[in-house]
Amino acid sequence: MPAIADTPALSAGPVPGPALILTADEPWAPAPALPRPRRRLRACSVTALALLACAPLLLALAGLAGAWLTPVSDVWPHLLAHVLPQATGNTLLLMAAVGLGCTVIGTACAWLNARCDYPGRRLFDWAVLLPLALPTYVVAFVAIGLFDYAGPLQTLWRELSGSRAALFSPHGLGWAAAMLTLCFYPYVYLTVRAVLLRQGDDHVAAARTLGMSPWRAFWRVRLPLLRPALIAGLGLALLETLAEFGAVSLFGVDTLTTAVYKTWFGLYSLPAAAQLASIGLLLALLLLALEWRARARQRQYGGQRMRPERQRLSTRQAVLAIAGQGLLLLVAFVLPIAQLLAWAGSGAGRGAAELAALWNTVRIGALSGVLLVAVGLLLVSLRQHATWLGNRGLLAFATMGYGIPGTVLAAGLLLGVLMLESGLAGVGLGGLTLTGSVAALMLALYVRFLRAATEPLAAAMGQMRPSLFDAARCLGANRWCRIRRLLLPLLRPGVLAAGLLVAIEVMKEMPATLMMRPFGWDTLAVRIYAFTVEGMWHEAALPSLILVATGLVAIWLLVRLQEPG
Amino acid sequence: MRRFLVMAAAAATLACSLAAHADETLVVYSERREPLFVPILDAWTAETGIKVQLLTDQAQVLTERIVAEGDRGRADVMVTVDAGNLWHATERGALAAIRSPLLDAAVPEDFRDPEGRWYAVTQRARVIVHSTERVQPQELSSYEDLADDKWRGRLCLRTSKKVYNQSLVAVLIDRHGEEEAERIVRGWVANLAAPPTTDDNAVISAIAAGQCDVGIVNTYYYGRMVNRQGPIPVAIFYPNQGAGEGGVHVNVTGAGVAANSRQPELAQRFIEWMLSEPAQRLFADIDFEFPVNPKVSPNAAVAAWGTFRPDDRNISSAGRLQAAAVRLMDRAGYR
Repeated sequence: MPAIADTPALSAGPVPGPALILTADEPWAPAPALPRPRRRLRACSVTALALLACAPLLLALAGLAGAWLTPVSDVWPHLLAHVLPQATGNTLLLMAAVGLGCTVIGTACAWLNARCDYPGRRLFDWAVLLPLALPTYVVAFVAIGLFDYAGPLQTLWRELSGSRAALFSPHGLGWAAAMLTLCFYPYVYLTVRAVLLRQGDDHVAAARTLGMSPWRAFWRVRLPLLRPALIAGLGLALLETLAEFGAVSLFGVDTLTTAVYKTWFGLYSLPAAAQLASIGLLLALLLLALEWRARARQRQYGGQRMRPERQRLSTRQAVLAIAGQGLLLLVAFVLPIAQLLAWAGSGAGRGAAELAALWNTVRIGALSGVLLVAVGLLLVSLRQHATWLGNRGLLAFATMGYGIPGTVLAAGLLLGVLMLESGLAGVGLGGLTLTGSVAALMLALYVRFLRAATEPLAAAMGQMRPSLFDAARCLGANRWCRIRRLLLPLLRPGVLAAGLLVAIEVMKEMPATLMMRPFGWDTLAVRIYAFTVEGMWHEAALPSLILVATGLVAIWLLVRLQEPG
Repeated sequence: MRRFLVMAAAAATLACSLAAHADETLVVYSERREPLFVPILDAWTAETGIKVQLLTDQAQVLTERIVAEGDRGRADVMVTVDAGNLWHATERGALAAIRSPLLDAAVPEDFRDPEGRWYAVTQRARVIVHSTERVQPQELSSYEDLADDKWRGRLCLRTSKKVYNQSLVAVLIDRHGEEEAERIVRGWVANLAAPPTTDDNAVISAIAAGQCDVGIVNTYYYGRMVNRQGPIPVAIFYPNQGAGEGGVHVNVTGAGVAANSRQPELAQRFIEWMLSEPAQRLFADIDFEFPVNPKVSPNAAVAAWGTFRPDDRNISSAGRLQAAAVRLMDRAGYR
């Protein structure tokens, strides 16, 4: 699957060697045919490893199972009558809107920067990634502060017009969808751009010579060719939307996730909340199944050895491209940063606490980047040996935590870990304490973000031609040599992309970190939460800015290190 | 390859630097926002030399955590906002009952659990705020009155997801019964000038900016905003002061000894310290809240807002009815 990793060059340099064939799901080396007993043995060992990878998620689900199995007859009629219909409807609408928005914006930007040439392209090529550094809850509180009735914009309008009426109210589904789109379109941009950089025009040209109109050729040929990349990026965006809490609650939209929170914190029913959360999990599974189906129907396309020609934009087109992307960046990045700077300037500075939080943030970001990439590599290489459907299911299941609301997941894991600890104490291993340690926090982040590591890695693996390895074998390279001299260098862009993407996500993460962190241990996201929950936006601005700056460094690294060299 | 090894080594170093270390200290689980609590803890440490480890999270998460941790738990004290959360913590068995003549003297009866499982440490009043330009105080009377047609299109409220509104509605249920309470809440919803806001600040700002004329907020949000921005065209009105109207809805931040504390005496000592006069003064000055200990008077800025008669029922009744209040607000379409 092509994803973030196959971003061989965010510069304009030549496309590096290995990305010659575009495959959808092709493993880098097919599993050789084995005699039956060995095949069975291999399947068993894959199952064992896959189960190990699923263990933290299973632990979280086990923690919730106690609650899940508790009958709560009194809460459900109320939820069904007054909460669920609207929450489900809103969730689906929000996902549809965010999906559409990300597709349009992400694909349009990718097309402009991968296939066209205009002044400023090199700048926009990486600049449109910048919103990735902004956590959704920060974008949301900034948008409300800016656009609310009492905010600077509407105040100015009232002074100019003399009218007391509100221009608009920054609440509701539309606003939430717009803001989430601005936060999540970079996922689609990254995946689609990577494919466009290598995908030739020959299919489309062939279709045109066979008499298709340009529009029809786009729908019938170009779009299907882009579909795997689109789906990969959309998958991340939609799962994020499903699990989103901070931004949707700030915009006052009731979704499945906010319903889960309300059921636990307002109706005091953790059982009903856990049961409600499983609806979200089902939706996530459904998304995954759709993604599988879409990819299974379309496994491989012929590649092209030459980099496709860039289309030179006319002056008018170039102006439109620059204005459009400029406006996008203004709304999605410049405006929020400007507002944060203004607030930070007026808030009291507490540099020391923020610095300690920054150090913790960077540490868990780096550590989980390394950890998740290591596990991700294992999982992705297991995928090629997973011929049995059950094993493939298990491997996919291990990454499902991405779609579960952070608090529910963390609560399940916390309860699961506590169960495990008392179980261990029962067999005389009482000295082991996981709760409140960084290990427990890592476990939570592992469950939540494994998918952000495996997808780029799978994409990088998918790029490799099996024949390369055959050739190496023919030349007498042993297994270790093949891994060291061929596999690892070829994987480098994927590994870097996966590690940095995980780090960026982990540093922005709030609810799971809040729940699993050691005593008295703050990250920037936790500090932001402590202020925003009380509406202390001026105080929240400084940690937000530091968090964004840290994210920007990671994005800069992502862009720089991906350049071949 | 070397780079991979270097990265692995760096990861190992990071992991070591993160290893948790335990101490003999007081462990406090708290929902109270860190910036509003850390100065208190610092003062305790300065006075007694006993260090505090603080874990902040949502009250229900902390409650479940204490319950699940059982004998292996490390919490000594649980501090949380809202009587509903405190009531729920007692229901789940997360708090231990204590006997303390000191606390019985320092905390009025309405502000503690009858069985001694929690004690209020500060109180916060949920009041009506109004525009000084478009509303005369004489027009206002009670929370219930805000459901009246004369406030159509003039009311701003915070979201019903916030526990402060949940306990306010719980009190309405307690006072009027569910049917009448639902009528009142429906009246509020009909009177809204804008969708419910996410926080109390936004309600005050909206009144100041002219989007609406009246709203319901906790007093300390008003105090903070005036402190930051200077005078604003918004004033506090203490509702329900008439005969038979109950009184101003008051909620608390409360503390209790964790049911599984290994050092309950120390935990109790800490709670007693929080209710001592110096600590209460600190609480009063830190965030425009009202002290619980009657011997301590509120901060000067707070005292300038005048005095009021608080609701006369024990606030734990609000906790009991909180889930009913949430359902009622769902039914009434209060988002």
